[in-house]
Amino acid sequence: MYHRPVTRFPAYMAPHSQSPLGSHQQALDFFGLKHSVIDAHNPLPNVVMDAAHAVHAGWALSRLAPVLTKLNGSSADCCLHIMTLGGSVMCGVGHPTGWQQIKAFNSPWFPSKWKRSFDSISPGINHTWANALVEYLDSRSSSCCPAGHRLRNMCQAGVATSFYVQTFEARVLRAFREDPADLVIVDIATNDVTPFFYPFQEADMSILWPTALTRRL
Amino acid sequence: MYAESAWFDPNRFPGRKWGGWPDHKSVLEHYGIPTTFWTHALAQNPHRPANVSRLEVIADALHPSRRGHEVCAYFLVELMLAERKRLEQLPAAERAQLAVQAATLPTTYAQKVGGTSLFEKLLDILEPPLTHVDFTDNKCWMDSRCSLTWRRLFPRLLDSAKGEATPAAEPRWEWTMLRKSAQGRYEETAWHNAPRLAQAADKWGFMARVTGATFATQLNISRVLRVGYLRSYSGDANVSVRMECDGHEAQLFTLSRRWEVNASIYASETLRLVKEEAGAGAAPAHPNIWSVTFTLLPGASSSFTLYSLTSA
Repeated sequence: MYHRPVTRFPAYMAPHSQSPLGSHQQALDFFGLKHSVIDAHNPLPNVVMDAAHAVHAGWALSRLAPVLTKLNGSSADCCLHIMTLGGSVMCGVGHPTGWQQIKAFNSPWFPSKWKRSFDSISPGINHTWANALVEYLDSRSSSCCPAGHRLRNMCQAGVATSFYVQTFEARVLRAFREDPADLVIVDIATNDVTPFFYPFQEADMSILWPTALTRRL
Repeated sequence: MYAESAWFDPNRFPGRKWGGWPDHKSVLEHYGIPTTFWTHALAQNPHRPANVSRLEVIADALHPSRRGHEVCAYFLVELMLAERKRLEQLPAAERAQLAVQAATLPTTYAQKVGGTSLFEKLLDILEPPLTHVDFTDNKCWMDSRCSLTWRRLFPRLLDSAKGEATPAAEPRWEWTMLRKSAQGRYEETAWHNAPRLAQAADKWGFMARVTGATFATQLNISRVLRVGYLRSYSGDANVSVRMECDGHEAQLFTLSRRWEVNASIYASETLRLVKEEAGAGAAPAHPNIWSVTFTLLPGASSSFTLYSLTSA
């Protein structure tokens, strides 16, 4: 397994932050594991982080500004209501086959604290990235959000973006009216492979569905 | 925000790795939606082979493992941290401007890339529906206030609850739950026998299993009926859709469950009452009540599952 040399943190990466969003180091500590794709205490190379921040700055910064302001560490109430939309990935579906389980169990990154069972690989609805995100924020916001940040996972297994556009009023808007969200996160790329999966459908629709969902949100 | 989590198995989908990203990219960039493409980032790591990273973060052919979900959450935090740093470096005046900008939208992407015709298509799908029925929303169906309109349109969907059993010989559509078993197979259960404890990954739909199974309903339609249904690589099931309205020529369409792609997923098909050449914006003067009849055609080797009906 490759070991990267220890890298010095750039000046802006404060090792510790009191903000509920924390610092790079705190995020690494919370999620990081040795011998993992995230190697604790060693930031990933810039090329990886650049690729990860697929759309950022400019308009994107303006979209996030209200949430970041709420999480700036000085607000008395920093509680976020996060809503998620997506397909089976968002529902935590994942069914490893026998050989996939064996490979995972024998990997150096597999946490020893985890029971070596199917459940430790398959996430389930209670171990999605949305839950992990909220757990991280909760771990850092006991003073400004003692009750914990709220998550509404509106996943629907086996659906693509077109489903959320067509059911927008009945599902998403209704949920918004009941309880407006500070942040909506969409994870549906796995089911949205339109030019590949729908070669016999109208080509334009593969652009129009995400456009329609983005505009509606 | 968007999290792009697709990382397809190169053996299963040769030459295609990144799911919906090619289509999402331009749209998300245009509207400035903060996005992390974490699976792609891991594949770019020069210090770690992509297949090794993939083994850690993907549980099966395409879904992230529990570890993969943690990694995705990490990248979302990283993206927010990077944006916070940018925000902190801005002068106060520019920060105030961002707050104004946050509530605005640029020109539609459809106009930018496709001009008027694509924009009209966008308006077509953004138009509030005249009628919308969602067979996947079991929570709403079980709430009589929420599903009042749906129950009027489909009075027999919940028949069994009222003890109004239909004759056994009559093939019918049945509201059904699909749940994945521990072995990874989907098991079908009629709604009245479904476990009360719902699971997020349950799939609900209006299902026909027996040839000749028919249902008819009255829908308010102006130009199009969009049908959401399950398409799959396994099993054949074709359904005819007959639409009739006084003063209009009857329309007949066929929907097919099977497709060539190795995936089972919600698909949407638009049944147009108006010919394309008349223009996307063209429409009859007034919406009309159309009688719509769905029938499972002979030769089905599998069930046909309807997810939603939306008219405009």
